[in-house]
Amino acid sequence: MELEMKRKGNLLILKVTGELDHHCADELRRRIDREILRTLVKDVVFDFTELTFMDSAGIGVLMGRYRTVSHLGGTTWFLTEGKTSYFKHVMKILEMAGVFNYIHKCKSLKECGV
Amino acid sequence: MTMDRTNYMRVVFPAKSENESLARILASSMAAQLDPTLEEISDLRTAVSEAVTNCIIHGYKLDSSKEIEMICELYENYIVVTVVDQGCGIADVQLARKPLYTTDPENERSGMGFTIMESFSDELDVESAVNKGTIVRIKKIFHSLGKG
Ligand SMILES: Nc1ncnc2c1ncn2[C@@H]1O[C@H](COP(=O)(O)OP(=O)(O)O)[C@@H](O)[C@H]1O
Ligand SMILES: [Mg+2]
Repeated sequence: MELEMKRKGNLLILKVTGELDHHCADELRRRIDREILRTLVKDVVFDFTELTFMDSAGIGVLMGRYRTVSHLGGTTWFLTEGKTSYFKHVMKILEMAGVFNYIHKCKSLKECGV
Repeated sequence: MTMDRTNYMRVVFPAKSENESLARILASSMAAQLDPTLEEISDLRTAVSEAVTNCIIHGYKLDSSKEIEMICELYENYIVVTVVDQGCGIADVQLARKPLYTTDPENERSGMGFTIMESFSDELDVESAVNKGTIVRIKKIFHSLGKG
């Protein structure tokens, strides 16, 4: 798993690549939470388009960050325009868990207001 | 009609989270011998990952001195992966299998593990006894092979 964090105004862009499972979920959430508190951004957007594996640990990471971000009055976005065939699998898992009842889908960063 | 088992493997590994990916790789490598689609392999990888993670987190409560056994059995057009722990067991399996049910919400568990295993496999059997352990059996048919 690799995490790339970029800030654009009030938005924190979180790109996670590689394999997201329980083994790396702890580290992932610690690093993201630290960055949210350090930069005091309002909104975050997750880019999972280049994951090569994800299981229910990904649901936990998303919903946990959603809770933090909405507590601070921000919005959590999720990029839905992945080109890999694996990304369809990621979407299937997240739809199944109902995460998009909370997290906003977006097609591009523009939609997140940057 | 019964089918002949064409290949199998039995592995034992410690309940360390590093081994979640090891288990996925082993099971999917064996399945790959049948030449299923990438999507079918993804389904299997996810289901195996959920089963093994559950042994580590719930069965053994992160005690990595404990062991998990995984048996992969290959048939003409399907694989059966059995994941066994000798951990705390599940008091009410029917309840545990319900979507969103988790005994560990503090650690951001979603309660979707069994639901995912079920929807990404063709058959899911769970046998468990409190303080004895849990056996999860995942059957994945490779419908793309168009046999049986
Ligand atoms: N191998 C196991 N040993 C003991 N309890 C288990 C095991 N697998 C699952 N469970 C129980 O079943 C519940 C539901 O499992 P699951 O659907 O994977 O959700 P989650 O892992 O997110 O809690 C767990 O919270 C746990 O109480
Ligand atoms: Mg689970």
